[in-house]
Amino acid sequence: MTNTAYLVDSSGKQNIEGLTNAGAGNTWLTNHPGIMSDGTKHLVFSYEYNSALSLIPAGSHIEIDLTVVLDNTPTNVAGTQFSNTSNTWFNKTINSTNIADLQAWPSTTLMMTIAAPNLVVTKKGTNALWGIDA
Amino acid sequence: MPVDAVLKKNPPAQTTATIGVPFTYTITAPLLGQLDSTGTFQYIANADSNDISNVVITDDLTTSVRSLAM
Repeated sequence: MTNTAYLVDSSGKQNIEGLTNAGAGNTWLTNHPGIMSDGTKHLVFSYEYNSALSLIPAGSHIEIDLTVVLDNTPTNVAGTQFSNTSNTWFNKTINSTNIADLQAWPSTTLMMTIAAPNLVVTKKGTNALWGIDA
Repeated sequence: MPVDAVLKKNPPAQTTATIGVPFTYTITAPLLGQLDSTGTFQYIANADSNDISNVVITDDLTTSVRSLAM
């Protein structure tokens, strides 16, 4: 799993170097039961380890391009459908009151289907191997 | 009333994935959106008009309709 992150605003798209899914602090995780962090399958990009997430200015957003790959496991068979969900928590000032730990509307990807690999096999041999007279 | 939202998208026009072949999700936050008259959430703006802070973005790559390991 790798990622590239950007801050996108009216002036364009600027690369954010080193955005890490290092997880969140124990207090944050304790206060959000069900959220796991293992760096590979349960990803957490937190302001505690990423200064770019400490403040996202008005009129801008963060974009994370997350490159993943399906594991070769017995359950990942052709035809299986899957989707994933991302969540976001944040603080925001509303009517002069700073409200902490708001949860954004979550997003689940459209279904994708596991496809069989497109294998190409090249076979070579001598004529003798194939039983063909030289 | 519009609310902040996150958007996670598959690669454009991609509906299948193959074991061992990388593909790229895109996660975007914050966006603004609201429920329409049918109760469907609609995205209406590419950013919040106010600052947001202390942001945490999570992604559970194990969740799926059926078992998935990534």
